[in-house]
Amino acid sequence: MSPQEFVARHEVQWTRLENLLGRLIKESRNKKTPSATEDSSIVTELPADQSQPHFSEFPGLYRQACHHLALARDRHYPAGVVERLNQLVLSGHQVFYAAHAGLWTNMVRFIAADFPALVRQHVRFFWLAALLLYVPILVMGIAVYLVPEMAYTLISPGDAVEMEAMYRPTVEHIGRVRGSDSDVLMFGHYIRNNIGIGFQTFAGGIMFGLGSVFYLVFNGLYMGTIAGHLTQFGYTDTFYSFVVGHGAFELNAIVLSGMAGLKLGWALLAPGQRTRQQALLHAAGISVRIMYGVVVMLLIAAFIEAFWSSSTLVPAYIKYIVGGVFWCLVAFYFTAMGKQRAD
Amino acid sequence: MQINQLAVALRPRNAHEAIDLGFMLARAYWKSLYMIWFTLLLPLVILLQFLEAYNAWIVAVIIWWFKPLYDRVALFVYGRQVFGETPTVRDAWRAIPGFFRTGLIAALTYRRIDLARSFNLPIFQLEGLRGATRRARQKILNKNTRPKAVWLAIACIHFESILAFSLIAIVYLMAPHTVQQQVGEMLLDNNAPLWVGLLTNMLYFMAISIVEPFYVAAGFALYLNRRTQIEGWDIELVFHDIAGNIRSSEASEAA
Amino acid sequence: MLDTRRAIEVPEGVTLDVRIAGLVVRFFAWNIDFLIRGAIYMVLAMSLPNLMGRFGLGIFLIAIFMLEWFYPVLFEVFNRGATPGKRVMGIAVVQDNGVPVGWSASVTRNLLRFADFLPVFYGFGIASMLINRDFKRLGDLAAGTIVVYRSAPDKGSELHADLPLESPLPPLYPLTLEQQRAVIAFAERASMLTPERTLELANIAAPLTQATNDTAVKRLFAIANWLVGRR
Repeated sequence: MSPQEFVARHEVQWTRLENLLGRLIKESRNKKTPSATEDSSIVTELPADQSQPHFSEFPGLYRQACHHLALARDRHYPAGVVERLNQLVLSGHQVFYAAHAGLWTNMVRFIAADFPALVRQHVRFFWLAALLLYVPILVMGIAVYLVPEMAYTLISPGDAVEMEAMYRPTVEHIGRVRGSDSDVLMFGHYIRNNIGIGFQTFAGGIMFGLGSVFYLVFNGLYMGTIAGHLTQFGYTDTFYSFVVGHGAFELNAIVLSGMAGLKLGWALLAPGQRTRQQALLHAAGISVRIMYGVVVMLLIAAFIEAFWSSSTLVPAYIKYIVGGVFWCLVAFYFTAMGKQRAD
Repeated sequence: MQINQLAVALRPRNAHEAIDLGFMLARAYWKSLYMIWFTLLLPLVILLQFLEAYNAWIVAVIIWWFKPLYDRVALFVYGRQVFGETPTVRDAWRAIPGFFRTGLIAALTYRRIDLARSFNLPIFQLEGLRGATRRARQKILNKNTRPKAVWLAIACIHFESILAFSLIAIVYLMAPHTVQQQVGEMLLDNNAPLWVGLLTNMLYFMAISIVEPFYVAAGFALYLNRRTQIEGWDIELVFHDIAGNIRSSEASEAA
Repeated sequence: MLDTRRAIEVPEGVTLDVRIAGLVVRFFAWNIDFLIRGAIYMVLAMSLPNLMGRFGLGIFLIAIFMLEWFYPVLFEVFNRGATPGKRVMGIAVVQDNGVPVGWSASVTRNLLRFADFLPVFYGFGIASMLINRDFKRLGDLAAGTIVVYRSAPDKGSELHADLPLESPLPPLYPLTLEQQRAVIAFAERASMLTPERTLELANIAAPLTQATNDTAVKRLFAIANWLVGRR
């Protein structure tokens, strides 16, 4: 077949593909959800013109163009033909593999089942991270309670005074320096800070896990210091009733960020059969999904912290009860949800 | 130039791609570069440290000021490597007198602030042009490309300062917890003890040693790219190929 | 041969040529994005707290959080791998296998920005991009992504519009694709070469044209016209 015959024979298909690609790219810009294969709504709006190619033709036309490109290259056809096909295949490839949306359904399924199943699947990292956070909290808490001066190894006397002010039983809004700060302001503040800490703890994992270990232990020591200091000061009711509610989500979310980070670090330390790069890619695929869950948990935590924990209208014992319920919920969620998907 | 011996793939690139190619070049030849770079330059920089007792800042400025000299060392290596030749330390040592015939004095004085320095250097050092010819040549090559070379310098200045501060920050973070605060204060203090100035200046030279080779290689790549553009080097290579193919097929037919 | 071009095998059995974008162009793109975000912060900071007091300040903090962490992710996922800055510089993120970047890859590489940022102003990121052959920062390593130059927008039939017209002539000898491209490139770029250099190049290819000097140049143009499909 001469190049001219080749072009003449396939010209129609190529133009159809070009036409389709142009529309699909425009579509993906406007609708935000490029869908190359499923598009019933779009097609019905088009005039029933025979020459207007249907979106369902796309995969077939694309594969054909790939085949034609390979042929044209093999047979040393003129560069003009090869380049045109190359362009077609390039844009086709981008559209064909564009991220398919379905974000919301995926998200619901992820939260209802996949996330807890994923955590259970890698539970050893969870326990390791939990130890790295909770042991320092306990140790430092007890140490500061017994030896109050220990507090000043980690926080300055000024910070300590501010802490005391935030949890003084007479305070208007618990956990805030200025009582008048609105709940929404604090919500924004907690989102920025707490999720930031979660992300740090995760990202630190890429330094062979050291960063995650550091942030877990450091945050543990810091929280232990504050708990010990305030307990020793006698502000127990305001402090513990404040932290018990959102703590169920926040503390465990930080543990989970640590878990995700440790998973990265472990992949680098012990890649096993894979190369380091492959092991890292594989682990990151899992870790990033844990982080999706972490973000949701931290959002819940920030919400509770801003609108519930800080309230002085609710008596402490109710906060303890609700807090207890939250902890049970979290425990139930991670142990029982998504069982059927676990394998 | 024997362009058929070039170790880089020739095709007309946009300026940013040319810069990327330069970075790749610097990465590919880091071994032979650092071998020569440190044997020639480290003694000089260490000698400078004797001025440290006088004033640490002046030493830093002098280290910075001598960059055009370091550039010539780097371009000497890349200019050879790109034609598949690995220069030895001895070669570099012998080449030093030649550096003074590459406009070094001007580069260290009134041309010190030229931001397109690494892009223009091949004209001085590899083509060895002087005076009016050099100016005419530079004008042709600078057309369209000079702004990119200047932006390259601006980017590299940022990389260099970020890496210098990163190295200092790492020292600070590595310091034992009990003395960390003092170390931090000393690193920023003008009247710090002698060893602090010594340390920071050596770290600064390390940052230069990391970034400057990339800067020189990127300028060199921009230069090669510009010449490929205006002289069709890539076309010349393939045309030689075509001619060779046809001649050899005709020869085999005749036989 | 040193080159920034990489060939990626795709499942359809063809290879994609991608050109890896390096540290300098990405630095510029980052700066543009930084300025855009800075401008948005300024506008928000001046409007929200003034209009809505402390409530507005809270919204402002949430907005900062969203911008800091999700500005790159949303643009990369919905804008074919490019934040506005990357778009201006003509680059985009894709996955290692040339496929457009998806949610996980984009979230991974952008969360790990934090590690790249250490110890100051992307020090680790810069170091990683200088060392890695594909200019990957830590986030790219973990996410399996590369930053590439976007291929020129699909010009369709306008391709080779700047080729000097000459009645098409088939080459007397079979040419490989690379050789065809060189002939086309010669015709397209002749206007940028000096006349002497044009003749010099044309004379090198004399066996192909069976001619020298001006005739050779003309014949090469004619062959180029044939090669791009003109008849």
